Amino acid sequence: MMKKIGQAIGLGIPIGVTCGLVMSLLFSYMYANMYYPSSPRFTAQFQRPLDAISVSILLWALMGIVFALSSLIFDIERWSMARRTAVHFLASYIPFTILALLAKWFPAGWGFLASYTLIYLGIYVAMWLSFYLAARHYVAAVNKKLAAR
Amino acid sequence: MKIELHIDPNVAPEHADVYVQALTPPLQTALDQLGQVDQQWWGYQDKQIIPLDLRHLSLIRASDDTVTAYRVGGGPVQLRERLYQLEAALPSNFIRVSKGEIVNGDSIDHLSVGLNGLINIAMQDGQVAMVSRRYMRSLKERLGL
Repeated sequence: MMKKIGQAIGLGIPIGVTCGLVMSLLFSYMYANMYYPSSPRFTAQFQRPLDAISVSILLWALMGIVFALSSLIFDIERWSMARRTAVHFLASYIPFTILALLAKWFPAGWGFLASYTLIYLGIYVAMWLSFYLAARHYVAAVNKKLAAR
Repeated sequence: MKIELHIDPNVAPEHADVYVQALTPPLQTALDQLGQVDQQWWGYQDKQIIPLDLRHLSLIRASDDTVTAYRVGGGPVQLRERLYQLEAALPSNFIRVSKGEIVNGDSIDHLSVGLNGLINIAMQDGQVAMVSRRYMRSLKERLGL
């Protein structure tokens, strides 16, 4: 169990940081002519840009850990898929939203929170569907092999 | 295959060392059989102790405190061994598919996906097992994909 948690964290940190880095680079190219690790409202909080980047990296690592650890919920076999999905959704949405607000990715306000939640839901459903389709593909491949025996 | 056989009543434990260039399916079959020559599996039912023929086992399932083996054309029996011990000692056609289930790969009828996204294995004798995410890849490999 501890080993699984350790492995999840070990995978979550680099993935989170890499995603954060790539996204912040993309946004910086698109909207500014210099590097911003996060929104201007976030970086304005800090004395020097160096601190803004360090804290951003920390937040990205934490975000990676949130998703890596919550994915372990899907390994609880005695729970129904519905229960696993519901718990995983909450276990990932709540901490991630807190981190996103800390990183000032969107302004704190109900309207902004609502559109953020809609986007989050959309991505969540899309990912759940892709896992489902992958399972379907897997089953078809295995059945094909079984029929050929 | 050049075979050297050494018979000595004092050798213990009995063992075989095989030197090959590659592991092929026929060799794997021969090794499975070799591994089972001194291995007799026993099932427990009520007060009876029943010798088991592995070819007739479709599924082995572990619940909280018992390990149950399902026999084709017979009733379920309890096993004394734990799942991890079985996983190590059973021949290669027995595949771990989830935290609590080992299936006989030769007795799999087909797989299916439920609307909930869970993958089920339908055994030839009607038993149903579940493939968990963790074991998807190894099941595919063991079946030769």
